[in-house]
Amino acid sequence: MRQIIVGVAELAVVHNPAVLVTIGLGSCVGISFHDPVAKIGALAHVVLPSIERSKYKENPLKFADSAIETAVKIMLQKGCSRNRIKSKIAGGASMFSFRDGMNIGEKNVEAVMRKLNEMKIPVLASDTGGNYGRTLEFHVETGVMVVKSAFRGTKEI
Amino acid sequence: MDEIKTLTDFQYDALKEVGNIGMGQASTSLSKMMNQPVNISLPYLKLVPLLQLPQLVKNQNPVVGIIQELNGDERGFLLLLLSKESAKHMIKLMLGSAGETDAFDEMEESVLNEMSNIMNGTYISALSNFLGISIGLSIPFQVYDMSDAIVNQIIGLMMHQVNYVLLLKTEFKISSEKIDGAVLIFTDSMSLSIMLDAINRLLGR
Repeated sequence: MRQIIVGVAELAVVHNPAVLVTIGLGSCVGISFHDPVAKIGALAHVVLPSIERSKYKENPLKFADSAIETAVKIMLQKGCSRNRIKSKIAGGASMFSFRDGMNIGEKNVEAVMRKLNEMKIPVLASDTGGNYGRTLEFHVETGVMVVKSAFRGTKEI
Repeated sequence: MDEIKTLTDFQYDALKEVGNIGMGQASTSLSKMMNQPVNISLPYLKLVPLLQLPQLVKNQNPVVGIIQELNGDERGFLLLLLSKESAKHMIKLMLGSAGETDAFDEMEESVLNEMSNIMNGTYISALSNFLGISIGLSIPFQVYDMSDAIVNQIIGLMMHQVNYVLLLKTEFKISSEKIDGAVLIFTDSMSLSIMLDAINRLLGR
């Protein structure tokens, strides 16, 4: 099976068959998108909540809000239907924190959920928070997201 | 302050030398604690986009990471990385024994934190003293997890402010005890000018 690695602040949008992989999510969030009829899947790896509040805006794939917009735009260009796109999310941990109120993982998850709700994209499943890292595999064929961790086993969502 | 995105060869050499001095003193303090000779590598130093960090810090197995935040004149993070085996060997050397499990108990964690505190504290105070700037360290935070995920969160925390980071990495080894690890300093490119100014001052430039 074709495996595509999605790095930090990257997005892959592909036609089946493929497995999209993102390795070692800490506070970042992985967002999968799936249109089972068009057989197209996408995986985004976002770092920060919002492009609006950032001083560097040149890479929309860094941010939850702008990366989600970009992913959906590319999917529509590739023939997906807006009302068939469904998503799953994982990541957004807080592995360590030095200052109160600086839970960036939680803020990322909130921003992702807010944007998906705003765009009326259903979130079928999620595995977020906690204090541990996650590696994701998104299977475009089935829409299954496999979430792996170092000590908490593997789950399918 | 502006973000610094390139360094001259001269600045690279000077920063490497500063790193070498700091790590030299840190390894001496580790050596005293362990009562064993400690070898250190030449420092690896590179100013890189934050998004390139995952390629530079790769480990197959889960690692013990002890993280401290830098504050004061320099902002960023200091990360001490040890393999599980090295961490267990180190605990054994300090406590006389170490648990056989895949985890670390409270006592073992505090031994590692303490070791990190002493080593990193020596490193950072050597840098501060040598450069005549003031760098502080937060209390240590310990994780045992995928190194990619640790680096991932460091990227997330730094990317609020900058796109570039100075990575200074030095490896250390206690051959007799099969301990090896690395100390990584991630300095935010905004606060880097303070360090560079200090180097220029030292050299009367």
